[in-house]
Amino acid sequence: MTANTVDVTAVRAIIVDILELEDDELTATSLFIEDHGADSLGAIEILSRIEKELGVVIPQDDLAKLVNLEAVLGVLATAERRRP
Amino acid sequence: MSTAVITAWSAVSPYGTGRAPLAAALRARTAAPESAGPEEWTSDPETTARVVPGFEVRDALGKAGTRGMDRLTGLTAVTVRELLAGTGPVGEDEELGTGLVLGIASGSVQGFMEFTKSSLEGASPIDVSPSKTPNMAMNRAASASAIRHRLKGPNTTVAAGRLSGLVALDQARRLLADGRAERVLAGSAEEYSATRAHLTRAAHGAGTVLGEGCVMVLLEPVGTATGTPLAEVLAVHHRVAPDGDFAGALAAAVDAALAEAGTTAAGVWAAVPSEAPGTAGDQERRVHEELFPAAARDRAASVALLGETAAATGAYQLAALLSEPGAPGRIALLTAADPDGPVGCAVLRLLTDGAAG
Amino acid sequence: MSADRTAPAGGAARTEPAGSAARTEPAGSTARTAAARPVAEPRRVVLTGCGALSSIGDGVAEFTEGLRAGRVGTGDISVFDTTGFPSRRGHQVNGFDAAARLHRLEPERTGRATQFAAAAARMALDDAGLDEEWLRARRGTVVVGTTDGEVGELDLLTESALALGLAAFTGASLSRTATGGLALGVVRELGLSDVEPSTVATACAAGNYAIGAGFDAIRAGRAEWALVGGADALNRKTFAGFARLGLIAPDECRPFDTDRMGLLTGEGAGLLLLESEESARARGAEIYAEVLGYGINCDASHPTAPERDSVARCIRLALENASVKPEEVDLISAHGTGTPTNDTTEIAAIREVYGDRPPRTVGVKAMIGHTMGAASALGAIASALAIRHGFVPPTANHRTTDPDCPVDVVPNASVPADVRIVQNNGLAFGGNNAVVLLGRHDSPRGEYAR
Repeated sequence: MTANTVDVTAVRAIIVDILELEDDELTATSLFIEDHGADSLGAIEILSRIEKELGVVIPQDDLAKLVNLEAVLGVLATAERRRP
Repeated sequence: MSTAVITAWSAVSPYGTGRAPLAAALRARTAAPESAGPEEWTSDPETTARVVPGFEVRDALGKAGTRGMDRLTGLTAVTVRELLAGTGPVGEDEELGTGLVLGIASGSVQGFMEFTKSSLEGASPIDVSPSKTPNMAMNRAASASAIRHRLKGPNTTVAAGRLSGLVALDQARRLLADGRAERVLAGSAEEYSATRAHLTRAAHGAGTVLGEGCVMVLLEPVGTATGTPLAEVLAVHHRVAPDGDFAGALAAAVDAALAEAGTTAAGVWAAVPSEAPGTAGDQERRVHEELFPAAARDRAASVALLGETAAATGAYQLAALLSEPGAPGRIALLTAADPDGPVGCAVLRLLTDGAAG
Repeated sequence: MSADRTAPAGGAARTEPAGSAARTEPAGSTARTAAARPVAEPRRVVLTGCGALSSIGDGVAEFTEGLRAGRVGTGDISVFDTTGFPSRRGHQVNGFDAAARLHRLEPERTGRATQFAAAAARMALDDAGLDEEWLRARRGTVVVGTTDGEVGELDLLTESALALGLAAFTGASLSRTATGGLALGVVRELGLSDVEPSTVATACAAGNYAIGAGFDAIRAGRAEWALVGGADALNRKTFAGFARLGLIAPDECRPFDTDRMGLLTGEGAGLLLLESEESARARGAEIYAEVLGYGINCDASHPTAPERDSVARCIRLALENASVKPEEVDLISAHGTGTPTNDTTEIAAIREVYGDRPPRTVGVKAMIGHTMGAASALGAIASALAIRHGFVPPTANHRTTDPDCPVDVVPNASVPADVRIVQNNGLAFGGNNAVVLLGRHDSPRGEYAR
């Protein structure tokens, strides 16, 4: 595991895009499912896009943790880089 | 088999959304307008087709639950919405519920190929879009329509090429006859896509003009129908032509269907062929010429107005027959042929003057 | 529920129509046809031939032996390039010799799923002791369930198009990739014409849908025989999709296990030859089982997650249609994919119907993988073999039963048992559920053979 510098702006942009929110609707602790109407596929899509665009690997076990922006940033802080 | 009646129908076609624009254009024998298809992988901006102009799934259905939804599903879901808007409320508590039988050819070929393309080209082979994974099941259009309208009865997706509309109608009336559903939405759908265009033109000639759309009918048992019966489904019969003998097999299918319907070729008021490409279509036309007088053959609109609509063809033929005015009680017949071999025939009795909508 | 019904165990000697809607007249009562041969009384429908292709064996004898031995067919997938995937494990049909199995279809012009369907249909025909001439002399129906049709062919086409551009699309591509080609392939392989082919694309419940369609056609007299079941071939598109959703197990599929981590994709085909009891008796056929009835419904709720109450409703529809009481069911062949959500939801639905003492509930996907459209057809064949040969196939790869899945999963080793009635579940993406009930047929040739 490595501690990463996380591009918060990029992560926010991905989430806002997938959940189809205005930027100010997403706070650090607003919940994807309960507050923003996401479903389980939405959470997987967030994981997928972050993996792809930030070049990291997030274990599938961490999926359940991705409930809000703060949690996503927490998971990303220790995520491994994708193998080239 | 117990009789089923069509009590409502609707469509999304190149003429617009709903039954009225399609019915009016078919009555007027207006060829569907050609326009550019969606911009997508392998698309050619110069190519036009008889597409539903400007159709965008999320504009048509709203954003809720439509992220990543493919065009085939969008066309189907809009048709189902339009159909149910004109009928009584769906009773969620009914024991058997409302069923849905949708005929398709191969699902969203474009969607499938683009998904695989993402896997092949991505830095990782699982770099595919999660929001598109529900599309990867071929039952997506039927099941998504059920989800949007809480249709909890049997939900079937059937693939039979250009016979898909006819086979869907047959399976729907069987679900009613066998006591498996209270009522059933039946029809077929096809999406235009760049890859479908390449596949179709490679098979049937570079000049083939493609079409798309969806037509759905509401089928109810004759005894318990809540809507006004528009047509009675008297018979459906299909089989497979051996060794390219489409004419022989189709004539046998027409005979069987007419016998089941208790009528003869002379009793047919309108006969509509499926306008199959190539030899299948030539032989289909010949069968019509041998069996039916010109008056019956010319009575209703030809689905050639819509281009090559593959799986949607049979449903468009139904629309052509339901749209054509005449005296109640007239017998209408449609045939279907697929260049791969399947052929079939359906016989209806039209129960209204066909002038509504 | 069927509580108000009085159905003897085994479904034998039932005289009432099996249709669940009493207000529906017996099929054929208002038809004006001679060709469709309407029957006044619904006919009993029996299974007399099975064709199976799976990772644990081809043909009904090998398949039976594999089920009884608890054999697990997991291996590395080689039908497409798995480089870079998190796992390459799956259930492949190895050593399939299409040229040897097929008499009329040309393998080089036919997709893998269609080859499977046609080969399994021929096996079922042989197993039933019938030939093509017998089929040709009678009106029949061919219904093949599938999840992906010939998507494997579309994968190849995609690769070609990326390499060659539009030249990849040839005149044969359209019919090679058509989903309807699966049922049509069966018809072509057997040289039939007066037959109605349809391919049912209701994803992972499609096999049971097909069996239901064949059951109704024979019961109502619309067909004299039915070749029904399902077929699918491994392909990149579906493998990538399941992997992306995190549904693929890293090592083995472990249905109902505390540590289950997902499914393993598989391929294969299961085709069943159905005919009327009258027909089977007249020709002295061996009867594997009677098809007692089925239920189909739709959750109409979520694109990928099953809904407990709706699955329970489907089970009740099937029991009612078959005139079977829950306490008469000896065994459930579960959908049991090994994903956390499916297994918990499915067992909750079973318990909703069966209460605190559900019958033994096994997941054969541990042995053969998730064969998609073939899954419930192979599950139905496994159910029929359990009845015929008097054993319960195990749930393989099992360590600890999940407290949230409190059923006897028959872990790891098959057990001898007097199996009279089996419920076979099929649940699909899109909420398409289908449940089939099979029962022992109490005829001299239908008794179980150990």
